Amino acid sequence: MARQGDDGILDRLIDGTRSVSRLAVLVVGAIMIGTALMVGAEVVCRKLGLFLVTGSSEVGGYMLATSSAWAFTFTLLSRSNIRFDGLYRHCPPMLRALLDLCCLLGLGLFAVLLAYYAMGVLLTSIAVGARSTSTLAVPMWMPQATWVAGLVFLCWTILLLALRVAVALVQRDFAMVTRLAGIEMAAEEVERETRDAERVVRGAPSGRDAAAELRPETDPARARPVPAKAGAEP
Amino acid sequence: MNLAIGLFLALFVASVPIAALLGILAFVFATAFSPLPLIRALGQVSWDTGNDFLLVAVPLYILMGEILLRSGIAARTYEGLANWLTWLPGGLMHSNIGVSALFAATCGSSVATAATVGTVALPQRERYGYNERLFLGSIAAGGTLGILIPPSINLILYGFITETSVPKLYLAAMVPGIALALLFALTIAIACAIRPRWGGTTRSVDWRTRITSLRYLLPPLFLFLLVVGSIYAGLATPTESAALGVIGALFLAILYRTLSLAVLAAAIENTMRVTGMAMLIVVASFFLNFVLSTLGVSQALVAYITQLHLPPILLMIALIVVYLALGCVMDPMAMMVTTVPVVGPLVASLGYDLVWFGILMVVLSETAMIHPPFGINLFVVQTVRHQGSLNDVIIGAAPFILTLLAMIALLLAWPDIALWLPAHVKGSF
Repeated sequence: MARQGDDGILDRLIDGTRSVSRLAVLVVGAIMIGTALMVGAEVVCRKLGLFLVTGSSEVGGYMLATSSAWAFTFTLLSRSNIRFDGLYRHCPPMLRALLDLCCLLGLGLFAVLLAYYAMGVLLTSIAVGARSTSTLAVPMWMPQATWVAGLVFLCWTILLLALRVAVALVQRDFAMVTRLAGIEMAAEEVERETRDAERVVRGAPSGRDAAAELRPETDPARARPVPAKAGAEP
Repeated sequence: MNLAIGLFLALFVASVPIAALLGILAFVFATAFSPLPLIRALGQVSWDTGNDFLLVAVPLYILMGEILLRSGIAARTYEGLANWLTWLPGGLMHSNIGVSALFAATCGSSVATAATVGTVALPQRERYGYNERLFLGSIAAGGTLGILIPPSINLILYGFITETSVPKLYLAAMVPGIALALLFALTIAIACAIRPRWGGTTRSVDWRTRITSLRYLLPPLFLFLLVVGSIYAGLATPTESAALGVIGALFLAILYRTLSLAVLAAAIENTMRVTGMAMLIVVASFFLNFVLSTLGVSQALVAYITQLHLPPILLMIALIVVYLALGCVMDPMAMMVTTVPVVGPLVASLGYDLVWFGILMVVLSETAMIHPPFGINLFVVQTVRHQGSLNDVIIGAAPFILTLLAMIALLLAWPDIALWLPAHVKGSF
């Protein structure tokens, strides 16, 4: 599986991973809103002297660990990790693509370490039957398993991306490397941030347009090598 | 040690993501300099950091801002405030600052603030003939108030890192936040006094319109009371207040009929993108800090600086200069999370109040937000604008950088600007 053309098995795997990542993010996001409602309910109940809802702070913590573990992949796939681009933006495309691959491998090293030792924490919790020291007495393996799963998924995604980027590098398809692992240029980033606000101001959002914009970036226009952050304007 | 610094610089220049860089550095330190298998603690440290309830406030604030950004609340607030502020020299530009301050009081992020205000304000500029550059600058600068005026994501992270009380930090940020908004307004007034043409045409508004438009200011006031007020009323912890904020924002979005599944999905996606970015840095930074303090590096640094017996004020000024320089090569949030674990103890050992330093840190971050190359607010404004050159925004924001530097000097000269309020509000925070 060394050399892949377009729509080879690697591309299909990456597309699938993207979909899974997006779905996971929407699920944990829904859980986050649910947690907010639960925390709010606890505050109100406490004020009224009722103790119907308790332990939302503990649940909130598990929610954060799990959602950030799954968000790591989403951040990676949308190329939103913070990277210094001072040298990067002055590099020729070939070197840039090489840097992208190295950075992916660097992130991979950290992710593998994180997932490996997180797995250790999970296995220990299972072995000793650890439960949280609270009224909920949650078996610790439950939240930790979803957390570790997110980290393992991150490693898997990095592996796929690194393979695909390596293939693209061999094929000298630098645009592909940028699209998969390049630094998200400020212009693109901000455009995404402001799009929705503008839509609200200029008229009611149309559900169809919004849905189209929510799809993962497959727009070929975004694959073009864009000028770097401050380099956009001399 | 030199090897470690060399490695850091090499990875940094090679554009390795900040989080991975910190993680790799911690790994190298842990395996090369310690007889103990420190790396094994990575799992436990990241679990403990990752499920801390205080940090739950971070994604909740981001989510709240994302919902508000799409709720249409800003357009109404802008109109309400514009009716009251147009008589000032500089007219609508004061509304830019005012709405930013109000929006900052309901949302913890500067990007969300600048994007929201920019979208509503920019169409007004041409109609009244304001100087374009100054107008753009006022939006970029006003937006930075998002992380100073409570609630604030950056202050939550700072409170978490330094174990400082977040309610105290919020109290400390209020006076500097309002003062900075007024200083921004003063900057505009002075600019327009020198060049009256920049101020555009003033429009007159009758009192009846003014009074009726007051109701547009109610939603932000409601959110501020809900999110910040609930903390001081003793009803909620900062994280709980963030949850109330999400509920309040959802409520307003439903009220204005801007809430749909597509909007909610977009808000969640952006929230997760930013949360993933921030939390990976936080986890990596915490592990690095764990390794450094176990090895005694942090303590050695503090001991070394203390035995120099330099006047604290000199060291503080040196620190400020270093941070201003760092702001030129690093994203402000990453800059704070990576440096404060080491710099915090140092600052405390010099006899400075950590609450005060937190406010200073945020004002320094604000400065980095409106100058190149990482001035994210410049890009936000430029993107909303859809035309012209980024240089217009950079030049327009320049006077406000001076204002921020003046604010830093004020904080240095009179620490009570930040410390007076927390000292005089009763309560056990």
